[in-house]
This record gives sequence, C-alpha cells and structure tokens, in this order.
Amino acid sequence: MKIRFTLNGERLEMDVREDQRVLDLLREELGLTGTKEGCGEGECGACTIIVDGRAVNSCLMLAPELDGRDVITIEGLSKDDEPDPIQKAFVDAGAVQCGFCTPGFVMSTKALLMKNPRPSREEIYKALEGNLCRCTGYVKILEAVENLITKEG
Amino acid sequence: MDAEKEVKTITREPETFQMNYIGKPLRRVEGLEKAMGKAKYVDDLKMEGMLYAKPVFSRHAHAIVKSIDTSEAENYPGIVCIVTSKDIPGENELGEVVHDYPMLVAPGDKTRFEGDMVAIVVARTLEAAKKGAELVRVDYEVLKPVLSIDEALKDDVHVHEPSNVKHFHRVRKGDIAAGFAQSDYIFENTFEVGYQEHAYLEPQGMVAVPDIDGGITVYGSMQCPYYVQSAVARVLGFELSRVRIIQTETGGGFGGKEDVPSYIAAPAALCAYLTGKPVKLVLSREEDLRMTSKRHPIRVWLKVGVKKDGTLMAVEAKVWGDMGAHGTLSPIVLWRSNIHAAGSYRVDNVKVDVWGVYTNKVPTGAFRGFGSPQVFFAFESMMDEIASKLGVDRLEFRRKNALSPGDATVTGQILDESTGAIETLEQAEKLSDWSNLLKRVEDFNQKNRLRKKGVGIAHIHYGVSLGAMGNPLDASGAFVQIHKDGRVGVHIGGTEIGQGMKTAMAAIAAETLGQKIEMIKVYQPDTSYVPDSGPTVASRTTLFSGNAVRKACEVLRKRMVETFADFMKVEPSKVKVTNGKFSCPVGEMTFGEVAAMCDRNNVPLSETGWFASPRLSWDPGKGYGDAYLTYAFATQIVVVEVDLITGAVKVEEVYTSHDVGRAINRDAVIGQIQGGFVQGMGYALMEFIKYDEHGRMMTENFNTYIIPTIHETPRFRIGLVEKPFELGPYGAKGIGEPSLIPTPAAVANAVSHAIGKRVKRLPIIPEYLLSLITQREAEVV
Amino acid sequence: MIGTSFSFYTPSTERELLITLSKGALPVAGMTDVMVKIRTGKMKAKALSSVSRIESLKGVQMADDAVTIMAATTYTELLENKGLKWRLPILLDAVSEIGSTQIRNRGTLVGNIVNASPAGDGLLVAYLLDGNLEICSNEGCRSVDVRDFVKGPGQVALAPGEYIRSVTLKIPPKDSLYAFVKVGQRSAMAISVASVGVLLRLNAGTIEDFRIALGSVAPTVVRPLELERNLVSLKMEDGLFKTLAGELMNYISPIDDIRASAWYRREVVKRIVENLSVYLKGVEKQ
Repeated sequence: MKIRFTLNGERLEMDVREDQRVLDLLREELGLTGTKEGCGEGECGACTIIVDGRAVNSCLMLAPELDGRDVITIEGLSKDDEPDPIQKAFVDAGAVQCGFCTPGFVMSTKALLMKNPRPSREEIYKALEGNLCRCTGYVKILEAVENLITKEG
Repeated sequence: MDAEKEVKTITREPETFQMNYIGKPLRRVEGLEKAMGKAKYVDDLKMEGMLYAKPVFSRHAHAIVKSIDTSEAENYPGIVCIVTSKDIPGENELGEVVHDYPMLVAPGDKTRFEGDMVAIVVARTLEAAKKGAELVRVDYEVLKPVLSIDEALKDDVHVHEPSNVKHFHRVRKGDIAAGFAQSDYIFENTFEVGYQEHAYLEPQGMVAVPDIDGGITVYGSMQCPYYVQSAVARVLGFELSRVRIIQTETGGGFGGKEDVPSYIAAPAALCAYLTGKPVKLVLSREEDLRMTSKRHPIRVWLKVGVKKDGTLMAVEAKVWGDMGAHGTLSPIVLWRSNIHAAGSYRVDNVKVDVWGVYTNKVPTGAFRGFGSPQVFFAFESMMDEIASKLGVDRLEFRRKNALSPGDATVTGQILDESTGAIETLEQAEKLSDWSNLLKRVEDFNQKNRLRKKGVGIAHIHYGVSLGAMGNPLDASGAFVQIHKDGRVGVHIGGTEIGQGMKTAMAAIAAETLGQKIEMIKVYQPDTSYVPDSGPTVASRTTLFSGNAVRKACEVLRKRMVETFADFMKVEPSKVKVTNGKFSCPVGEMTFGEVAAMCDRNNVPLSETGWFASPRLSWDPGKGYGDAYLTYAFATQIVVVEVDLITGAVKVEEVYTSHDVGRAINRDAVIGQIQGGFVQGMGYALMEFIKYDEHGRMMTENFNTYIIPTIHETPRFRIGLVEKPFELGPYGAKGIGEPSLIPTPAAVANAVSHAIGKRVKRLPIIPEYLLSLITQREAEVV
Repeated sequence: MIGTSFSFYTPSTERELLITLSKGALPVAGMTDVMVKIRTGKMKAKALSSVSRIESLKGVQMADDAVTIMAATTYTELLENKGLKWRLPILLDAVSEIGSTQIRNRGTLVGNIVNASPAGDGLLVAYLLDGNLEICSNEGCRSVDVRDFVKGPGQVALAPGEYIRSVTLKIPPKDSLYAFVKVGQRSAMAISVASVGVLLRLNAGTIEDFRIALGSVAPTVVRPLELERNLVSLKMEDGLFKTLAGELMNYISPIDDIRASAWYRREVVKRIVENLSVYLKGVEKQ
C-alpha cells in the first residue's frame, strides 16, 4: 500500500505493508531506532511519537494510518545535531539514567508543551502517565519538565 | 517543584571542596546521546545478512520431552535452520554458580519450567522465526509441577534429584539458648515476601557475529560481560580467546542482567556459529517476563529476645528462598539473606539458617538488594512490633541497639571507621522532624475516619561488594590510554547500566589525571581489552573499577609530570596538574601539549590498573567471621496514607539518609536513591507475579505486571552521611542497592502503623490490606 | 512485529467502509485494544477496516436532553469538548482515567463499548446514561440500547457487515449529583478491578432519581434497575447507602482473576457504596 506523509519535516512517499506497525516501519524500514519497543502493548510509552500534534504509541498504530499525517520522532527534535531544549533539560536535571525510556518521555513532553506551554503539575502527570521509567523514580523527570517551564517563562 | 530536594551532608572532609569533579553534581557523560535517541541498544543493531532467532519454549512447567519434530517448521518459507540439543558442540549447560540449567532440553530429559528452551528457530525475518517456532512439534509427557515453597518442602515430587531442598548457609554466634533464657520478652513471627520482576525497560537480547578473528563476537544488553564470555565459550567448546563480548548500551539491569544475558548470548552465539551469519535474538516483553530471573520469594521465621530495657539479646532466623527451576545464583543471593537476616544491630547471640528450594517456576536470581530486602522487611517489622510492646519510641529503640565503629556485627565482624549507622538514624530524625511528624500524623488520624496516615521507619546495613562468598570474583581491571591530543580513553570491565558508571569513571580519571572531564571517553566494555573484572553487581563498580581506573591514572600522571618537570627543569614535586593544565613556577602547558611531548619522547601513555578485594576471614562451616569488606548503612522514614474504604496505599513523604562513604557524583547518588525507593515501593505495594495451577505465568506483560507510574512518586528529603571508606576510591562505598533495601520494610511499617495491625506479607496489595482492615474493624467492634 | 498478517483498510467514507465490511473486514477505531489482542493471539482477524478517517463519524452533537458521540471521536476529543464539562461530567471523569494520554489520543468511547469488557469504564458510563447505539449496514440503520447490545464479556450483537455510527447518551436531570469511583491496581493507567458509577437527584431530601452501575463484578456491567426504582421517593437518610450496599450484593457475581479476587471485588464495592456520600459531587455550573 502506498502512503504519503511528513516525517520530521520531510515529505515521504513509500510502499508499506498494511499490517506493519508504525514502530516497525520507523525502526526497520527507515532506520530510525531512537523510538524504542518496551512492551508492544501501549503500556510503557517507549515507542511514543507525535502524529498530527498528539502523542501516540507507535506500537499500536498501523503504517497505513500515517497516510496524510505529520509525524515527529525523537530524531526530528534535534536540528543539525543541536538538541531540543527538552533533551537538554532532561540531561541537565539528571532525568536520564539507562536512557531506554528517555526518547518516549521527551516525545510526550514535546507533545504536551506544543499544546500547553504552561502545564500545571497535574497536567504534567497526566501527559507522562503513559511512560514508564524504572530507573529514576520519576523525580528528576518531573524536575526536568518543570525547569523547562520556568526557564521559558 | 514543591517537593523538597534538600540534600544534607553531615560529615565531609575539606578535601572534597578542593576537587574539580569528585563530590560535585555532574552531568551524565552519555546523557545527550540517550536523550536524542542516538545511543545504540542491542535491538538497534542491524548487520548485513543478519538472521533472526526465536526460541521454542517448553509449554509445560514440568514435563519429559519425548520427541521434537521440526519437519513442518523447516519447510516454512524463510527458515534457515532449527537448532536442538544435538547441535551443541560444547557443553549443554548454562547455569552460573549452580550448573543445573541445560541450554536446550534434550529428548528424554525434563523441562523444569515453562521458560526452558527446547529448540531455536533461525530465519531470515523475525516474522518467519516466530512462525517457525509455532510449527515445531514437541511431544511431552506432562508431570505434576511443584509450584510453591510448601509443595517443594513436601519433597514428594522432585524438580531436581535428590531433593528440592538445600541447606545453604548458617550464622552461629554466642549461645542462642542462653540468649533467650536471659531475655525478658520473646517475640516470634513468620513473614512472606513474593516475587519481583526487574522490569528494566529494555527487554533482553543479543546479536552474535562470526568475527574476523575466527571467533564469535557477541553484542548485547548485559551487566556481566565475563559471565557471558564463559557461557558462550562453554557451549561452543571454544577457547576464551575466541569469544569476545561487547556490551551495547543497556536499558536497565537491576540484577536482571547479571546471569540471564549468558542464557541468551549462548543460544545466539550457537546460531551464529552454525549458520556463519550474524544472528539477533531479542526477547519480546512476554518472553522476557516468562523466562528471565526474578527476586526470590522468601519466607522468614524470626524469634527475637529482648531485655525490658530494650537491649537485643538473641536473634534466631530461618529463611526459605524459592529458587525456581534452576539454582543459578541462588546460593550467593541467599548468602546475603544469611548475613542480613539477623538485622543491623548489636546482638551477642545469633542463629540463622538458610535453605533454597526448587520449584517448577522461573529461576530466581539477582535483584537490587540480593536477598536482603526480604529479610529486612521481616526483621524491621519485628523491631517495630517489639518497640510497640515495650512502649518505647521506634527510632530511639533502634538507636539504642545500633552499631558503631569498633562494634561487632551479627557475624562477629568488627566495624571500621566508615560506619555511619547512628549518623543515618540521627540525620533521618532531623530530616523528618521525627517527633513533630508523629504528632502531625496523629492529628490527621483523629480528624479523618476513612483515611489514615502512618509513619514507618527502617534501619539497614548492606555488605559492600560481593563479600566472602564472591571473594574469587572480587577484582577489577582498567586500561587507560592517553592519546597524543590529550584525549583519554578508559576501558573498564564494569558496565554502564544506567547507574552512572561512565560518569563516575570519567570523574575519577579526570580528577586523578588532572584532565578536564569532557576530554575523557569511557568506552563500552569489551572483554578483549580488560581482564575478567567480575560482575557489575553488588554496588561494586564505583569501588572496584573506580580503584582500578584511579591506579592506572596515577601511574600515567606520574609519567606525564616527570616528562613535564624534565622539560621545565624543575623538581616533579613542584608540578601541579589540574583542569587540563600542567604548571610549575617557571611555566605551564596544556594537558594535550604534555601528551604530545610524551608521544614524541616515546613515553608510554597507556596503563592498566587492577584492584582486588582483600581476603575475608569468613568460616562457612562455623557461620562466623568477616562477611564483607565493609558495610553501608541507611535509615529511611516514610509517611503513607491508607484509604480504609479500598485498601489503597499512597506513599506521600520520604526521609532517607544513606551512609555512602563518599559520593563521587552527587546527582547520580540522589538519582539512585530516588529510583531505588520507587522500585522498592512498587515491590512493597503493587508488584506481583501470578502463576496458574499448571505453572504458567499469568502476569505476561506490563498490563498485568504493574509498576509505579509518575503518579505514585512521593516527595523526598534525602541526606548523605559521608565517612570515607579507606579502600574506596576517594572513600566511596556504593549506593545502587542500599537505595532500595530499606524501602519495603519502611513502607510496611508505615502501613502497619496506619491501620493498627501488623503487615506480614508483601506486596501489600489492596486486597491483602483490606483483609487486615476488616479484621481490625471486627476486633474493634 | 505484530506476528500475524492481515489486510487493513482505511476508508474515507461510510460507503467505502461498507464495501470493506462486505469483504469480511471487522470495523475498528483507535485499535488500542485490537492491536493488543492481535499481538497476544486473542484475536485472529483476516481483515480490519478503520473508521478513523471517516469525517462523518467524527465529532459530538449536542441536543437538549442527549449527547451523540460519533464512532471515530477519541477520548481526548471528548475531554477537550467544553460542552461536555457540564452536560456529562461523569463521562469525563471516567474517560480521563482510561489508559494514558497516548491511549486517549487514539481510543474511542464506541470502541470501548464494542470491546464489551465488564471492566470498561466508558461502557459503565454508557450503561448509566442509558446509552443508545446507532448500528448501520447495507440494509440501513437500527437503534439498540447498549444494555441489549452487550451479550457478555467481549460479546456483542454486531452482525457481520454492520458498524456502529454513534452512541447517544442521555443528559441526567438538572442538579444531579454524580460519582465515578474506579478501583485499580495503581492510581493511573490501570484497568478497573471494580468500579461504581452513580447519579442521584434529590429534592428536599427525597430521592427523585437514582442510578447505579457497577463494573468488573459480573460478566457485564451491572445496572440494577429494580433496585434503583425502589429508592425513588425515599428520604435520603443515614443508613440508606448501607442498606443499598447490602442489597447490591445480590446483583453481582464477581470472579477471581489476575487482578483481584471475588472477595475483594465484593467487599470493595460494598464499602464504596456504604460510603457513597464521600464520593458524590455536584455538576459545575455552566
């Protein structure tokens, strides 16, 4: 099946298998391995990407659904190797440990801040509740996001 | 954030303040690569001609494999080959420590849990491999499975011959009968603790590659490259020199990637060897949950004698750990249970016995705390029970019996100067504003009928590194190379698993050499560079690899200083090196200029470092002596709120003090403490593994194996006690595990306090708690 | 890798959807449950057809006494719909606790109803608000009460070739108090172990309208209509909820499963209902 979509600002047209998960399309066909698979069931959020401005689990989405959509992956946040402020904030706050969940958290944060630059604590919790982290206990992740909001304000 | 992040330090040497990196908050050196999605984890590797492997797991917890029919699978499109036990050139044996774990169960032999492998399917695509695995027909004779400690103890059905039950360890100190005879009160109780899954976010996996040296190189997610190297060599019948292991970025370990990676690398390597192609074997989350190790379910029986004045007189403990289907690391995990079961206090009469029992369930193994969180839950619950019966303050009761330098531990080991037990009690008391906290909680409870708060405390010790049982493994190497541009390459045998090893090593190298930290590159571990450095476990990496790096760097610095001094024609003692600069009274040069000069003058700028543990005096027969190099202490106070309607518990406040020797990277230490707490809290409150009556795991993914989300995170106040340990690099003792160990006990004690009834089981899921609440309501009425 | 192959259609009109359904495809929406079922082998579909691109199946329509939610409307779109805040606050309470942001960005209320899990939080609210489905096929459309649509756990009265256009929920009487209480294994991203939804309208201390729905305590959501009717015209007094809790026990038949035991489900529902006054809240003014 032929689909057209925008990936990290670039317009793509490609043939995809109808039953291919978006996660596999990104990782296996397009070599974008920054999006991770932690559970394959939409529980851990490691595979979070942004489609038309909303965070979604790429493991629960099929490739044909991308047709006509605007897709951002973790690779799309940095420009010419210059990290996004969210990525810097995570490192500065010590919110990165093993790093496997980090791209997913960064994408969920990005989706949140795109819609709502001044989220409350509760809104941050809701935006990040679909991302599991086993290393940090979430404290420094919350700090990273809150530092970002304060800095931009 | 309104959560208080205050970090207190009560004892610190002035030396710290003169250092550039040690003791400072440091940005993680590989952080940006991870945050940008560039870091390479095993499933991110792709190689030309790479094949995919899928194991065929036993469908039965306990069964004899009668025959394996691969014909249908072989004919499926895309299948390259199907590997069974007959294809193994070396030994069909995987188990680390205990050797009872066949890699592939041979026809005629038994499968002992549903995660035993019978065959491996290799295919051109992952999809074909999965399909092929479904098409392998195995004929089983199903046997009755052994599914609990009680069933195992009956010993009528054997998982392994000759018995399900093994007595592993003992402690004997003083005269236990006399101790109880001299006690005014005797307390007795049994506690039960369940499984915990590590739930590292990255499932386990390996890529094995036939390499250009005529051997096999294996890339993968792991904590212990040298275990993997031995396992691959054993199964392939290879010399160790033909097996090279390179750790990929590893998405969490927590002990779950101590021995288990060997059990995945060996099959992957065999497939690569047989096909001559790179082979990827990555587990799905479901396979990972079913096959890979867990924290031991443990039953603890405790008997404690005390004097009226609160002096602990005698402790007797019996500990049974569920080892699952294969022994693997159980003897060493349960050794830690043995040393820690009698608590962290002064007591003259001690008797501990520890058994491991086999069941037809997942093998249990290493997990942050290694057999100690379970026994501390039991012991610290008893401490609260006793304090409440004696009518004394719980913190005061602990302080009265706490250990000081010069005191003897429960195994008779005399404690060194770095012992900070009492300091942690006092710091936690201060951080929590203990007496006001108790009042505040009491006020709340008087005002609220349906919600009750509780305060819990736990005081623990932790034997640093592997201890006497692991003495032969307790040594680590490092290889440090300074390039002529002044850049420094550091190779060590320990692994970065998220704990911050790379940053700690970079800090130690930078501090010791006098170079800037951004000029230090810590490489992914590769067994071909550094000799066997033991495992990255037991919170030992900062101590062992850190000392090895420091030693190598000290030699290199000396050479560079001499070269510089010679050039400047000054005494070496007049040279200062700091922050990338060499200076002396007559001039200065950059670190890179001195390195280039050394290169021109053929001064060798590479060096190895080696640090080995001193021998310990433990006597396993007597159950007495020095068990560990030294001990780290911690005191934790938590506040919970219990919903009396549903039995749900929320941990709200945490006050925790840790005796760390020296914090190399303060940010990383705080991160470990927060992460360890939340993982321990999950264990205390919500995480469990459930099996059906056939021995099939029902908790098969994160929708049924529930771990904490961001909503569950409490507010923290963290304190560090820094009393340098003389053998530690810059005095460090390690923090990875002590961060979690007190938590189950502290949470359980808080819940017991809130509901007025003793919690004796973990996890405290709402169901269990509601049963206690309804019992309590019936008693009160 | 999902591990099984199937056809997947993304029609952009209802007419195209019907063509794909006639080829044997199953209608799907956000697929947050479907993908998990396929992965675990619990569902073996040869062909799926997604409604999510069909403009005529998107959106929310407000009437005086009811709200119609189209099949492709996501949970997030419901949460962002300002008109629902005072019309159906209990729906938003339930929806905001379903899954995570990522799930709510894809999942739909109609999907939750078709899923027919007794633990479905959206389904429970549909029971409580007398939900009515518009089911369409080549033959035309029919209207079915949600309670008649759900036949058992995972079983619904949807024939091959049919799809659901929308669900219509009745707006409760003005000034009703409401409560949605969900018991899960953690405070977010949890599947209900037990859930209770209540609507209550009082007039000078007398019950005018009372509705209660219970989730995860029987093969389907429980709505004890007879019991509800018996409460009407009674004085709101101490002990009433306690009596109600006791009587409710006759309507439920919970089971032991991986998440909780039958005992716990029974006990926790009883305790929640006994203490309903703690949970009841009023509708915020428009």
